[in-house]
Formats: sequence, C-alpha cells, structure tokens
Amino acid sequence: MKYPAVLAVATHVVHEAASRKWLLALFGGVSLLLVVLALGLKMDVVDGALAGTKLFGELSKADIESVDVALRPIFQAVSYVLFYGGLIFGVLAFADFSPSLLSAGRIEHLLSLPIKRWELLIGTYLGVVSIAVIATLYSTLGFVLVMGVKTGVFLMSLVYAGALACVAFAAIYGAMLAVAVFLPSAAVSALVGFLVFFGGVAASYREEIGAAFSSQWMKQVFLGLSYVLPPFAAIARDAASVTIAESISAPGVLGRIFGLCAFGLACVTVGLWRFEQKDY
Amino acid sequence: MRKWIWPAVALGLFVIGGVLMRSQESVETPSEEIKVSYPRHNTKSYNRAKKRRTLLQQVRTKREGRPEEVRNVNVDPMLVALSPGPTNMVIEANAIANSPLGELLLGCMDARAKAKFEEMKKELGIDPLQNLDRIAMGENNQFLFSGHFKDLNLDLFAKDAKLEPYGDNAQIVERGGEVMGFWNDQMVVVGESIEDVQTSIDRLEGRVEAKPTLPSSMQYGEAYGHVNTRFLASLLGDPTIKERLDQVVQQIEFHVDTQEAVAMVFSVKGDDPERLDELARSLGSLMALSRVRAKAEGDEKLDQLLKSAKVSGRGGRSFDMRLAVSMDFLRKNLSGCAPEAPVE
Repeated sequence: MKYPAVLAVATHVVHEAASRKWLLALFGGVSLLLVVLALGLKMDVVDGALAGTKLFGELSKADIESVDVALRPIFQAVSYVLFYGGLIFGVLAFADFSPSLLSAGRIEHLLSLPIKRWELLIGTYLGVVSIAVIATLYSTLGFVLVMGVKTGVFLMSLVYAGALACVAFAAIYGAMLAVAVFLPSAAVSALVGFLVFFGGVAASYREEIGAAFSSQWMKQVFLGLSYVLPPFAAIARDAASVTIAESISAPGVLGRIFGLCAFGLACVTVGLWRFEQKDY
Repeated sequence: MRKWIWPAVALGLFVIGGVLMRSQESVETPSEEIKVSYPRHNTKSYNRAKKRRTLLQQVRTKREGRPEEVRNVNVDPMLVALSPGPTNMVIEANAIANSPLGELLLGCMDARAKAKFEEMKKELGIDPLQNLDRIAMGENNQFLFSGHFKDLNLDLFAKDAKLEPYGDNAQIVERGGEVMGFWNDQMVVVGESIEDVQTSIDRLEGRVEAKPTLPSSMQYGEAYGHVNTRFLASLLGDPTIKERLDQVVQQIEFHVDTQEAVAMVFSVKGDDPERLDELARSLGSLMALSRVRAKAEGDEKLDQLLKSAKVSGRGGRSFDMRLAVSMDFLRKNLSGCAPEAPVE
C-alpha cells in the first residue's frame, strides 16, 4: 500500500520538530513538573476524602471533603493554564515552521519532489497540529496519572479539555500557515498568531466592547471582524467546565468546536489558493 | 473565474464558522456560581438578638465581703422560657417564610392546602405567616411559639377545657394530655405536664431565677441550637458512628442559613483534640463514601447535599461539619411540586 504523501510530509515535520530546542524544552519542562509533583506532592486521602496535602513542607490539616470536589479547582486551574499557556507557547514555538519550509532554496527543492503542492501544505499543517496533540496528551495524561495515583481519582475529563485546546490551536495555526504563504517570515507568522489569539479573546466580549465605541461605523467594523474570530475566552470556559463536569450547553460548545474547524479550514483554504498560484 | 472559487469557499467557511460560533450566544445563559453563605455571627444577627431582649430581669450577684448586688438586665423572653438541657432548637419561622426557601415551600401548597390554611387563619384569628416569629423546641417535648398573639382566638383552645389564669400575665389550659400556656400575648408554651408549663412561665415572670438557655452569641442563622449525637448519626445515615460520637463529643451546636442556599454548620466540640481529629477524619471519609454510594445508587438529592460537604477548622477542641444544598437545586426539585387539586 502506498504511503500517502500528506502523511509523509507530516511525519517529516514531526521528526524535524524533535530536534527543536523549543519543543525539547516543552517536553523537558512538562516532564520535570510531573516528576516534581510525583515525588513532592503528598495527599492524605481517607476513603475517598482528602484530609490534607503537602508539597514538600508540612502536611496541612486542610478541610476534609470528597477528593473529586477538592480536586475540582486544581483541575480547573490546570485546564485554563493548559488552554491559554498552550496557545501562547504554540504560537511562539511553531511560528517559524512554515516560513522555514517555504523559504527560498528549500521550497524549490521540495517542489522538485513528486509531491503535489496541496500535499506539502496540508502535510505541514497536519504535522504541526499532531505535535500539539502529542504534547497535550503527554501533559494531560501525565497530570491525570500522577493525581490519580496520589488520590485514587482519575479525572480523565482534563484530556477532553486538552482536545478543545488542540482544536483552538489548529484554528490559530491555520491563520499562521496562510500568512506564511504570502509572507514567509517567522515574526509575521507569530504576529498573526497573536492577533488571532488576542482578537479571539476580545471577540468573546464583542457586545460589551462594541458598546464602548462612540463612532457607529467603527463599532460595525469591530463587530463584523470579531464575528468571524473564534471566541477563545468562551472556549477556555467550555474547557474548564468540561474538566470539572459542570453542566454546559451542548449546542453552544458543539457550535464553537465546528466554528473553530470552519475558521481553521477557511484559513488553510486561503493559504492553499495562494500556494497553488505562487511562482517559486 | 475558476481561480476565485477558492477565495469564495474560504469566505463562505469564515461566515459559516462565525454563524456556528455565535448562533448559541444569545440563548446561552452563563452558568451561575453556586452561592453558599454559611451562617455566621454578624452585625445583622447581633442587632436582631438585641431587639429581642425585651424582658427585664433582676440579676443578683454576691461577692465575698460585699453586699449583694442587684442589676437589671434585658433578656430574650423565649430563650429564658426555653427549658435548659443538652438538646434545643430555635427556628426563625418568619425569616424562613420570607426567604427564597419559604417562597419555594409555600409554592408547594396545592389549592386544597391553601383553602385549609385560610380556614385555619380564620379559626386562629391570626395569620401564622405574619404573626408567628419563632418556634423553639426544648427538653421534655417542650414547644414554644413567639410572635404577636393579641388576636389569637383562645376560645379555640378552651373548647373542652377551662383556661386557668396563672401568675401575673398567663393563662393555662390542659387538654388531652397536652398543656398549653399563653403568656402576655406574645408566647405560647406547649408542654407534657402542667408543672413544665408553669415552670416556663415562672422563669418568664421572675419567680424562678433563670438565665437564657442559649447565649445571644448563638443567635444567628434561620435555625440554631444543640442536637444530640443520635441526630447527627441519623443525618449521616450511619447509626454505627453514634458510639464513636458519644465517646468523643461533648456538645454539637448547629446553625442553618436559608438566604442563598440551605447551608448547615455543625460545630462538634470535645475535650480531646487528638480523638476529635480522628473523628473529623472519620466523618469526612464517611461523607465521601456516602456520596459515592449516593452517586452509584442514583440518589441525586443525597449526592447534591454531600457534594459541598466538608469538615473544616480541625486541630483544636472543635471542628465544623458543613453541608449545603443550592437554592437552584431546590428550585428545580420544588418548583411546580404542588399538583392542582380541586377545592372541595
């Protein structure tokens, strides 16, 4: 069976990423944090109730409550850190991936290979998103495992929150990839990534921010632009709610997930359109 | 022409994405944080307790080598009439009736119950929702009702018995093994024997020296008092823990708040901090296990009650056990609980 070219490109991107300092630092940092938690955190659990916690120092006589209830704020905080931290780190770490791929000298070599242009671009996109998925799975599963061994409660819902963060990153990286086709620069790619990210956070409060505009046409421009941007703050809240099994509006969350996919796909389509036409 | 298809598709996807992400925004209500305010002594409860100190009492103090001192102090008549003992309870009936919980409970009355309530109001001559202030329960099945009872129809209680005047300002009636005393248009004392009721009235009228059974610092929340270990064991659904409670616990003080949620605090007091801490851990794990069992058995009500259950303030001669049910949960379970029944 023939190995699809898209997957070959994606695998190549993953291999290349393995040698990057940024990503090695990410995996190293996450591993170190998990080891510190595993060795230093002591949780006094009695029949499903958390009676005390200790991170190195003295065992504190905290409130005694059900472990899952006591862990909720911790997992909720981890979910927010994972979402916002992951997106910011992702924008910084992957900003130069597509610009270096499309840089003069390298692109000519790649285009001389028996790979179609769309396969090259989609392969790169899938490769980067795969790295984000692997990193997220590694950190969430590691955290769930450490806390599970310590407390006996395995809150797998954090993995779902991680999946939401991955979909959000895929949408942002779509925009970063598209702009790299127009202008292959790591700085511009990172700038666009941050613009989409912070713009998306602002878009979550578009009605409140829109009301602050004194000029009507400025307000309409803002509302129009923010309409298509993914509401990242709302998605981060969804992720936190999913983590602690809080009741959520299923149509609302699904709408945002499919909307994120559509946004990412739209950005990649723009990138593909330009890439197919560009004369290297 | 063909080269513009892809930008058009991208534009379409942007619009579809926007519509998908925004379509539910208007119908979504932000999830409200469950508000639980546990009862605590504050200025409001202090002022409420102060207003109720309407009974003037003479307190005699005698120190060695000095003549006896007599001081006039204002005390809460209900707390003076309440018989002393290890178990007692005061319910702020009027505050509960006017709280969100009271509204929910009153909403549960069907048409027949409402008609009966109206009938009862006419017979009594007073409106319990307006005129009844507090209900207290003391030792020997003593019940006290305080409020504005000027218009209370006493003839209703003297149908087959005779109202006998007692003391300065009271009347007592004995009916079928139950004795009721009416004091100063503001309190009804119900007891098992005539002696019990007379003693309560004597305490009120100063013939027996009596201090308030509960200190004013305990008067906070919509219900407060002391419960015994059997009550706590049955609340936890485990009678076997009673033996351990008996060994360690000296007193269990409780307070209930119904303003934002039904929040309960049980302060468990004992002499041995070490054994008390062991008990706190046992109670904490018992609540956690009960919750696991409730979840497994699909008992949503118990699961909700135990979800916010915690044991706090450990490390000394007391600890607190906290339980709460959110008003939102009660609303879901109690709203529309009254089926419309035809009025007979």
